[in-house]
This record gives sequence, C-alpha cells and structure tokens, in this order.
Amino acid sequence: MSGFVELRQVKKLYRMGEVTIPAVDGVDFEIQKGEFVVIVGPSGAGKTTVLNILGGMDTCTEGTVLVDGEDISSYRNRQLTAYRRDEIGFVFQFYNLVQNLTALENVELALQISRDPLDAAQVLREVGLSQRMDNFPAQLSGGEQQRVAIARALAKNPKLLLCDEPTGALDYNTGKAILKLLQDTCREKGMTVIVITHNSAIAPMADRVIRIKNGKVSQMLLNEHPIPVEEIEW
Amino acid sequence: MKKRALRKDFYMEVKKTRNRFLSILVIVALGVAFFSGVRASNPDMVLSADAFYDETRLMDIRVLGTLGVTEEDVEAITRVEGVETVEPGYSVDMLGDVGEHQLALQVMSVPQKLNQITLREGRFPQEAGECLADTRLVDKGFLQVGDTIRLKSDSEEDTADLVRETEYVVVGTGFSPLYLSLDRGTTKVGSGSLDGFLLLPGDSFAMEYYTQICVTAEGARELRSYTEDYDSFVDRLVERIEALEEEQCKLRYAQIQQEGAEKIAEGEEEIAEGEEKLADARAELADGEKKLSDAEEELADARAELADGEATLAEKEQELLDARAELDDGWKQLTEAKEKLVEGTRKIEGAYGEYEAGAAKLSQGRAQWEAGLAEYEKNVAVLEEYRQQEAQLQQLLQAQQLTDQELSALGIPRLTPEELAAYEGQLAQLTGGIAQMEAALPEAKRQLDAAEAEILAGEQELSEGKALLDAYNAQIEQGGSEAIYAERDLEKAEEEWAEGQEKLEDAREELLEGRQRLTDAEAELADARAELSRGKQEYEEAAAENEPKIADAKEKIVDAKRELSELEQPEWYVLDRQYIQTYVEYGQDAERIGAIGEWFPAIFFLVAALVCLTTMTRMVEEERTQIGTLKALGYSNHAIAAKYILYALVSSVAGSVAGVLVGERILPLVIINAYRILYANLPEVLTPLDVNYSLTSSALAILCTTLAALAACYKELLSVPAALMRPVAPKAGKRVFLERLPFLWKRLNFSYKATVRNLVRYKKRFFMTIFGIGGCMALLLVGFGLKDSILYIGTVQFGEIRTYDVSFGVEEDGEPEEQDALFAGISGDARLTSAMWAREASLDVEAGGVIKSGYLLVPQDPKGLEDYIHLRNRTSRECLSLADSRVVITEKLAKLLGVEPGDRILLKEDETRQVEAQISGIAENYFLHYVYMSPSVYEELYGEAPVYNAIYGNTLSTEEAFEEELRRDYTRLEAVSNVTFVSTMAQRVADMLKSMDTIIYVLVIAAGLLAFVVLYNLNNINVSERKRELATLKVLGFFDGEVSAYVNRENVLLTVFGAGAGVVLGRLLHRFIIVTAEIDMLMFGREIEGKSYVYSVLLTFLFSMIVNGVMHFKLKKIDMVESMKSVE
Repeated sequence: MSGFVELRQVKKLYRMGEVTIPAVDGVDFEIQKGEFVVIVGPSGAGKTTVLNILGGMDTCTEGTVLVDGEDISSYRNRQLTAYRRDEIGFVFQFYNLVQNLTALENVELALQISRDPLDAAQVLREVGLSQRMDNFPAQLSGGEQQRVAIARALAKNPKLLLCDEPTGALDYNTGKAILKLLQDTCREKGMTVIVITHNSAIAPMADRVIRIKNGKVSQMLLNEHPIPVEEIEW
Repeated sequence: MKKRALRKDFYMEVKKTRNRFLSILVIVALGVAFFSGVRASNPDMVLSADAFYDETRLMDIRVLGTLGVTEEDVEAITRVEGVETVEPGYSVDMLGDVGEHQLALQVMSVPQKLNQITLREGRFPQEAGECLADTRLVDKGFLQVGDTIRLKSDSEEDTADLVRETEYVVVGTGFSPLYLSLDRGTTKVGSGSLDGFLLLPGDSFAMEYYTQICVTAEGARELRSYTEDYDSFVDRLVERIEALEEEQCKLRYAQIQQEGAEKIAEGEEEIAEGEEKLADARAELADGEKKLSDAEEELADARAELADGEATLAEKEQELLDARAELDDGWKQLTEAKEKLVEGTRKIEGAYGEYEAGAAKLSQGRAQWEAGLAEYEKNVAVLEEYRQQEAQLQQLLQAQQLTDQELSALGIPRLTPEELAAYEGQLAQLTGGIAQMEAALPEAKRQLDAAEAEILAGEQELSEGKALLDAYNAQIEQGGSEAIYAERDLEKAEEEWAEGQEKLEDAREELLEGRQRLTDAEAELADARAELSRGKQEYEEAAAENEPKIADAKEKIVDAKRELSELEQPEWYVLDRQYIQTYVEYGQDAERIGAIGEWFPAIFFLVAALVCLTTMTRMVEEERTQIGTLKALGYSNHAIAAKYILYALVSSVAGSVAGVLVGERILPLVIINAYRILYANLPEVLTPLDVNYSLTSSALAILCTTLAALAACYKELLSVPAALMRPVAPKAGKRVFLERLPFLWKRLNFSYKATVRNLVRYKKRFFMTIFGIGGCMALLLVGFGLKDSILYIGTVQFGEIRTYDVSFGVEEDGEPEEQDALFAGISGDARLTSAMWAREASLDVEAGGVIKSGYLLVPQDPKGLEDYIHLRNRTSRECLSLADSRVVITEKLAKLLGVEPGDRILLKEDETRQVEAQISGIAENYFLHYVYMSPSVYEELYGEAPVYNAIYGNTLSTEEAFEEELRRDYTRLEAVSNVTFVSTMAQRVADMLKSMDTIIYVLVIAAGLLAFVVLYNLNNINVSERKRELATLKVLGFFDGEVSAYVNRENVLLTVFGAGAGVVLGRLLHRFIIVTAEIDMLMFGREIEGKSYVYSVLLTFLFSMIVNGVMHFKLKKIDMVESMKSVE
C-alpha cells in the first residue's frame, strides 16, 4: 500500500557553472494520512528544500512526489499554485503575517482564495485567540502570531500542514504550546502534519521521524507510541 | 574616501543596484532636460531666427510714403547717422494669371542688398520678362519654374503704369526673410489674401517713384532680434529718420503738385486734340455730303440733257426721212433724162456711122488717087534714074579709051572686054526704056488731075454733113453733161444724207453711251451715298465712343484737379520690424513657448527631486544593517555618509549632463521643428547649450538629490550601532479612518480593506505617487486645455459672441445717398439674411495711467446688435445691454486696465479728442478689445452723430466658394474698402492650433515619461519593501494575477487619487500658463473642456496600466523562498 505522501528518488540539483551541487540527493519516504511527522536534520541538510518541494513552492530536478495519489512533481506552475492554495497549509518560522491586517483578517486573507474554507473566527477560537481576533500582528506576542499563522493555514482546510521551524523564533514554553497545538490538531482533526526542525528533541512526539543528512534520508523511524509534547523536555 | 574597502563597496553598490542608479540618473536627466530644454526653446527660437535675419540682411526699418518715396528721400535717409544700408524698392499688389489659377501677388523688385532672397530653384531674373516666384506658390501647386505669369492691375491704376511687361516667365523660386511663415498677409486685390510674392528686376517697374525704402541700422546686426536692446536701438534710428519726414514730404508734395499740373495740362491737350479730330471728321463728312448732293445735281442735269438729245435725235431722224424721199425723186428724174439722152446719142451715132462710111469712101478714093500719084511720081523718078545711069554708063565707056595711067589717077577701074560688052548692052536697054516712058507719062498725068477734081467735090459735101452732125451732137452732149451735173448733185445729196444718217447713228450711239454713263454715274452715286452713310455711321460710332471718353477724360481732369487741390501733404511711415507680420508672429510664438517653459518644467523638477529623495531614503534604509556594522567597526559618520552622497552625486551629475545635452539639443529642435510647420522658411535651427539654464537646472537637480541622500543618512547615522543592527520593527497596522464608518467599511470587499490599509500605511509613497500621477495628469490636462483655450477663441468668439458672418468696411467720406444705396444693395442681396450699420474706429482706452488700444463699436440699432454680437458676462452668463448712458467694455481690456463696472475710462481717438465714459458691464470676448456704446451715448459723449463705416451681415452659407464670390462682388465697389469674413479669422485660429498639436504631443510624451518613471520607481520600492509579504501570498496559493491585483489595486486607487489631484493641479497650472502665455489682444478660454478631462484621465490610466503590466512580470519573479528568510 502506497502512502498518503510518497517521495521517490527526489533530487534537487543546482547547477553553478560547471559544478552541480545537489541540495537533495535522492530522498525516498512515505507518509500515511493523519500522521504527525517530524523531519529533522542539521542546517543545510536539505530538509527545507524537501519541504519546499513538498509544499509546491519548488520543483524537484528528478524523482516523483505523490500527494494523495497525485504526482505533483509533474505539475506546472499554475497547477502548483492551485495545489498550494487548496491542499497545503503552511506555517512559517517568522509567522509571515500581513502586518496591515488584523488576526481575523490575516486568516480571511487565506480563506478568500480557498475552495472549501472553514470559518475564520471559529478557527481562531480553536487556536485560543478568541480575544485577540481584532488585533494587528504588532499587537500580538510571537506565540499568538504563530497561532494566527496556524489558524490561517488550518482555515484553508488543507490536506497537508507543513511547518518550517514553527518554534524557531519562540521561547521554550511558547514553542511547546505551539507544538502542542499542532499535535492536537493532528490528533483531533486527523490532519497530516509535517514539521521541520533541527531540534531532534522533539522527535519523540512524532508518529514518524525522518532524519535527513547531506540531502539523503539517513533514518526513518515509526514511533508506535508518540509521547505528548508536554512530557518532552529539552 | 580613503578607505579602499569602502571604495570597493561603493563600486559594488553601483553595480549591484544598477537599476536604482539608472533610475535616479534618468529622472534627473528628465527633469533637467525638460527644465533646461523647454526654457532654452525660446532663446533658441529667437537665435535661429536672428541668425537667418542677419544672414539674409533683413531690414531693420522700412520707410513708406503715402505718395511713394523718391531718389531724393533715399539720399536724405542715407545721410542719417547710424544708417548702414539703404535700398529703395518697389512693391505692389497685383493679380497674376497662371493657367487656370488667378493669384493675388505681392510684386516686388528683386532686392540686391537687403531682405536677400534664398534661392531654392533656378536662378534670379536678369532680363525683362523674367521673374522669381515665391516657393509657396510652387508648394501650393499654382506654378512651377518655366511657367508664364500674366500680371494685371486690380486697382484704378493701369497695369502699364505699374509694370512694363505683362507676361513674365518664372526662372526661379526662392523665399524671403519677410515671410518666415506660410501666411502672406492680406491685400486689397483679388480674394483679399496674398498667395505669395513675385520678384521682378527693378527696371521692370513702370512706376515713377519707389514704394518703399529698406534700411538697416549700423550695429543692429550685432544685437539679438526680439530683445529690448535691439528694439530700443532701432527705435532711436526710427526717430532720427522720422525727423526727416516733414522736409522730405514737403518736397515730395511740391513735386507731385508740379507733376500733376503737367499731367493735367497734357491731358487737356489730349482732349483738345481728340475733340479736334472729331470735329475734322465731322467737317469731312459734311464735305462728302455736299459733294454727293452736287453729284446728284449734275446727274439730274445730265439726265435732262440726255432727254433733250433724245428729242433732237427724233427730229433729225424725221428730217433725214424727208430728205430720203426727195432724193429718191431726184434719182427717178435723172434716170428718165438719162434714158432720153441715151436714145439721142444712139441716133447721132447712126448718123455719124453714115458720115464715117462716106468719109471712108472718100479717103479710099483719095488713097487711090494718091497711090496713082505716087506711081506716077515714082515713074518720073525711075525715068530720071535711067537717064543718069545712061549718062554714067556712057562716061565710063568713053573713059575706057584713056591710058591706064590716067584711069588709075581718076580712080576708074580698067574694064575687061566682056564687061565692056555687058555695059554697052545695058546702055542700049536703058535708051529703049526712056523712050517708052516719055511717051506714057503725059496721059497718066491728065487722068490723075480729073480724079483730083472729083475727090475735092466729095470732100466738100462730106464736110457740110459733118458740120450738121456736129451741131446736133453738141446739143446731145450738152444734155449729157447736164445729166451728169444733176447726177453729181444727186450723189452729193445722197452723200450728204448718208452723212446725216451716219451722224444720226453717232448721235444715237452717243445718246446710248450717255445713258450708260448716266446709269454708271447713278451707281457710283449710290456707292458714294452708301459710303457716306457708312462714313456717317463710323463717325457716329466714333463719336459715341469717344465722346464719353472725352467726357470721362474731362471728368478725370476735373477730378484730378480737385484731387490735386485736395491732396494733403504726404506722410511717411517709418516702420520697424514690429510691422512685419511674420516677424511679430514668430516673436509671439517664441514668447509663448517661453511662458510655457517658465513654469511647466518645474513640475518635472519637483517630481524628480521627490523621486530621488524616496529612492535614496529607501537605499539608506535597506543598508541599515551595513551602516550599523560600519559604525560598530568605527568608521566615521562622514565616511559612511560619503557613500550615499557620492552615489547621489554621481548619478545626478551624470543625469544632469545627459539631461542638459539631450534637453537643450533635442527639445528645442523638436519644438522649433513643430513650429516650422508654420515657419517653413526658417532654414536652420540653432540649439547651442545655454550656460545659464544648464547650470541652474543641473545645480538644482544635483543639490536636490544629494540633499535627499544626506537627509536620509542623517537620520540613520544618529542612531547607535546596536539599534541599527536590530531589524526595524515592522510598521504596525493601523485602523484607518474609514473603519470608523462601519456602514461603509463593512460593505468593502476584503481585498479593498487590505488595499486601503496599505495605502494609508505607506504615507510617503502615497503622496509621492499621487504627486507623480497628479503631475502626469496635470501635464496632460494643460496640454489639452491649452488647445481648448485657443480653440475657444474660434468656437466661442466666432461661434457664440461674434455671430455675424461678414463685415463690409465702408468708406467714411462717401455721400449719404451712396451709402444708403450701398446698404440697400447689401441688405437686398439674397445671399445675406440680415445687415446692420455700425461704426468701428480704433481708439486708445486709458484708465489709471494704463493705455490699451482697442476698437470702438457703435451699432446703429443697439437692440438689434444681438443678431450680430452677443454681449454677455462670462461668469454670470448675464446678457448686457447698451440701453443706458454707459458703455460696455470687453473682459481682457477691463482686466488689463484694472477696471470694474461703475469705473470711468478715458476714450481717446487722438490727443485732441478725448471723452470720459462710465462702464456698465464687462463683456466676454477673446480677440481684440472693444468698447461698445449706443448711438445716443456716442452723441452724448462726442456731441455729434456717429458716422457709420461698417456693415455687419449674416449670410446664408459660410462655404469658401460662396464667401469668395461675395467678397469678389463687393470689393469691386469703390465705397467698400474691405470685406472680412468671420470664418477667415476662425481659420487663422485653427492654423494657430496646428502648432499647438505638437506642443500637446510633447506634453503627452513628457507626461507619459513622468508617469512611467514615477510609478515604476515607486512601485519598485513598494515591491522591494513588501517582497516578503508578497512571497507569503504566493505560498498561500495566490495566483500570479491575484498577487498583481493585490498590488495593483493600490496602484489603481493611487492613480484615481492622483488623477483627482492632477485635475486640481492641472487647472491651476493651465490657468497660470494661459494667463502668462496670452498676448494682450487675446484672451484664451479659461475653461478646459470635459473631453480633455476624459482624454487626460484615460491617458493617465493607460500609463498607469502599462506600468502595472511591467510590474506584473516583476512580481512573477519574486521567489517564494523570500518568505522563509528572517526579518531584516
């Protein structure tokens, strides 16, 4: 049985004149629907590139990327954009909220282009921001901003939630809270969540851990019993 | 910048931010180019023209005399101090026929020294019958080199009094500095506007005096035309020449009087001659008539004679017939007499026969007697001989006895004895015959005597018969001779008769001949009569023809005498270049460009400065971290700021240089070339770099940019390094004013909410963009508005205010009846729908020390004026009437004089005639100045009724051919001095607009460039500032179009606001330029048409859209990876 997400021999090569530099050098893995996946690896290992390819923000040079049976590696630009808007929710390290829009409006920004969106206010309440909906990003703390970002990603009702170092700019506790939110979302809504991080410590909380080193998958673990994030210390 | 690392950094910065560097360079170049270029256009225009004037030696002054100018005047002017060159010449307006074209031509003498002609084709005319034609005539297709022009006068003067030949061959074409433009001015000949000039050699003119003297001032060439210096310099010479006027004119007057008197004498003589000739002819005719009547008399005599002759002839014929009868009688008697005579004669002849027979017998008897006698005598003779021969023979025979000696001595031969025997026989015979004979002879003698007696008796009887016969015969012979006489007489009579007959024949013949002659003479007479009548007719014709001529000539002489006596002392017109139409128009156009260049490029400049400021600020902001690092490393503020200042300096200096070069070289060329549509003859456009404009514009541009850079740095350099190293906290989102209006805010689309917030968020960019787009919009609006304003003169002045179609100028000194007849003729013309008398006079209007020239207009019927001229106030739209005792003046005049309704103004026709009037209203008017008053006010002010000298009319049609015909019909009339059509003036305004078109293109292009540079630059900054946000949107799955729309929505809104601001700015600028650019006698429309707003808005949006289109591609290139980067 093939996975919900499947990468086969995915390569990303950058040609710099004569030299070819592989950012991703043949990555293979599968992810099942509803899993909480952590992709972990040191800086420059190629994990962000993998995430970009998976999120339709970049294309692979070689290999196949299947998401829910669709081969997105063969997608053209426009198809990729449609893929992004309909199937992917993205959470950035620096939240990337539009400063000029309130929390609610930032969520609505995503919703207005979505095919089957959830209610923005409801989603914000779910991420615990029922009181801060009308605040501008500058008036929110980092954690709150990231919650808005997550709400923005979730409200689109995507198939995949991709998170790029979601706790990178947050303090320990807030980071934990965010990770919990993500884990809860996965558990409660059956959302497939992929988190990229350089912090191996959070690996135990995942259903599936994929370690990447030098552009290749160095290890892939299935965690039979993931630990709730509250119990993880780092 | 001694630090090598910093220097390297600077180069790298320039290289890396090529676009930014170039955008500063370009905007500075644009600003400088427009600022210096448009400003330089005015001096360049003047300079180009001045160079042309100097090269062709355009006259500074022209002296005209009302009675022409003479060689003496030329000499006098030559002596004036400061005069350089003097050239007298001829100039006369005539009609010229070429093919089917009839042209109104200014025929001039070929200038030698001044106003030199630039040859375009062919050569200059050298011989009589050659000419050089205006290039305009060739360009308009009227003629070409090699064609022949027939000149004819269109005035009172004969063609022969003007030019020596009437036909001229075009040997070349050229243009004159007197005509830079296409318009050749107006004339009294033909259709009223000149088609071009024609140059003839000086000696082709037959005029007795020069029409003008062209003069150049010494040293004027070094001065620039159109400048104060030049004007005042030439003015001084004008005054010096004017000082000669009185004396020269007096001389001229005396000369003319003398010449005139001579001519009149000549004319009178000619008339006398003509009259004499006519009288001679009349006398001759009378003579002829007399001769004819004589001849007729003679003919009658001849006819009487002929009749007499015929009578005589008949008489004579009778006489002759009588004579014939007598003659015939005579002949009869004669014949009878002759018959009797013949019978008598025959009887006598019988008697004579008997006598003859008797005579014959007698003579026979006598003959027998005589024969008998003869024989007897012969026998006697023979006897004798016999006797002798016997003697001899005896002697011989005796002698023979003698001796021989004696014989030979006697000469007798010795006979032989035989011979002696013969001889003795013979002697014996002879003695026997003698004896016989002596016996017979006495018988014969008696017989013969008896016969003789008988014969004598017969002869007696016969002679007695004969005498009787002869007597009878004589009787007969006498009757014969008598008959002969009678016959002879008769024959004579016969001869005489024949002669008479002959004479009669002759006489008859003569009579016939006479009759023939008579008929011949009659025919001749008829001929003579015919000839005479012909002669009479001829005479009558000649008389009919000549008498009016003579009468005319007499009248003319009377006129001439009167004219001469009325002739006023001539005047001079000493005219400077201000009286050359093309010179003035060109100057005004240059000034207009100057006025536009005064303020118009300032917008550019301002925008350029603002763009530089934004760009530099953005640059400094982007390099915040680097500035912090350098500061932390211990670099001085100077060293750090130097990079940005240098960056600004280098780019702005480069931009200035490019701008000056392009602007001053190309812009004036473009603008002047646009004007060359009008001033086709300007040979060369000079566009030198103007130091003044170059330096001021460059300095301003460089200063603006550099100060902007300095200002931007200054703020950053004040901060401590640590602060600089930290990222700037993103500008907090803010609720905008609009959100306080929930009913409106809620209705807004989500995207628009974001847009509105964004707009408010970047205030600097917001205003900059609005200013840029507003500038663009304003420029367009000014461009189209200028056109509207000028067009307004045409549409409103000639379409709404001056609504009459034609005005006829009428000679003021005409008799009232003549004028009434003229007016009746005009108002009765079916081509005119209405007509009205008016008085038009030029006058000066003074108020508060300001004097302006205008026209006084007094309509005969102030109430009816409405059909011809609408008097209304421009702003209140209120109609003004001339009802009360005050006057209405036009708007521009009121503005120039600074007067309002209720104020008083001085109206001056000349120094001695001044009146004061009160203003009742200000009327809308766009061309020239007018003072309107009713006839009663005129009378009140001037103390006399107005003399009307113009007729305004409305026509059925304004088509060119129609007006042309009307003009031709009325300019012929002596009382009409000119015919002016409103459509012609409207056309001139339309021509003026043609050059405006190019100005508008320049403005549109300028506006487009401005919009581009500003929008592109600001958009670039906008996008680079918001790269992360846009990348995030892309990650969120916004399509490219949606991302563009997100940004462009802001641009569209900004364009809308900018356009709004542009309307305000444009209206202000338009008003300002219009007021600055318009000349005194014009008022441009103050309003911009709706159409122009629409065009301007559409164009502004078009430019904005183009920039948006370009931005779309730029947005497409934004990498989503940007969203991953940390905040700087």
